Amino acid sequence: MSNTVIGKGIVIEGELHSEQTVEIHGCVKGRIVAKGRVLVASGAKVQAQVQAHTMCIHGTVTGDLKAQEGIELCSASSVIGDVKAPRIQIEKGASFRGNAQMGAS
Amino acid sequence: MTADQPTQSVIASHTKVIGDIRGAGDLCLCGTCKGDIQVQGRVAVQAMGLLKGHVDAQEIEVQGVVIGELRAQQSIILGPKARVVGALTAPRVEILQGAQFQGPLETQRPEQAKVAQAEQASSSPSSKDARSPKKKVDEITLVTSHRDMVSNSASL
Repeated sequence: MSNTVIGKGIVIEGELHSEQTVEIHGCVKGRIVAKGRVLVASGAKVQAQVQAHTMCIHGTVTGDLKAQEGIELCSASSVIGDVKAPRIQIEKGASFRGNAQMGAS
Repeated sequence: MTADQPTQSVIASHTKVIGDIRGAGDLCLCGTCKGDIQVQGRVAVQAMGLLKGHVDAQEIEVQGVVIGELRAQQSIILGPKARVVGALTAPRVEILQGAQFQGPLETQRPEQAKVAQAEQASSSPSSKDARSPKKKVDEITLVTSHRDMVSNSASL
């Protein structure tokens, strides 16, 4: 079964609910709720509150992130907002501004 | 990584978008979308797909369910299992055998159709009679054959 992919050049304004993995290369404004993994690719812009099982951020996110499992802020990512997950990994080069909350919620 | 960034977007099954989708690139809808879609590219509503909203695109193909207006710059294809309630506007429209469609159909470019509608609205009330024979029958392609033949006839 294919994953949800928001291509480069596509803008979604509103809510995105998914049972699976969501891959974002374009722009999402609003809210993302995924039962699987959310991947924000480099060049992608997300202005949304994001909830997922796991997250991997390469692009730019403005909004709060909450994951059941873990959040990875990769190098060259830029995040402004609060981050909450049992495990949070911030790579060298990542830009982050906000509150981080780790451990079991 | 930047080189192979996809231009095609997929809203997978068990995925729901509540809001508008716009931009450039192709879109494949296997899940649910409640909102308008406005893209420079091709929109395909797959058999599992459900759309409640209007679509503006270059090409539109429907295999699933759509409630709303479809406007395409090039063509609209309603597949054999398509269920559409709304309006179709495109220079080329194909409705395959088995498709269900309810609503007005205009075989013109969306902007021309708008002008024509505006003219009809502004002209005298007698335009009511002139309306029905206006539809050019030879512009409507009704293909009831196999899908392979559709792609052949589309290339003509």
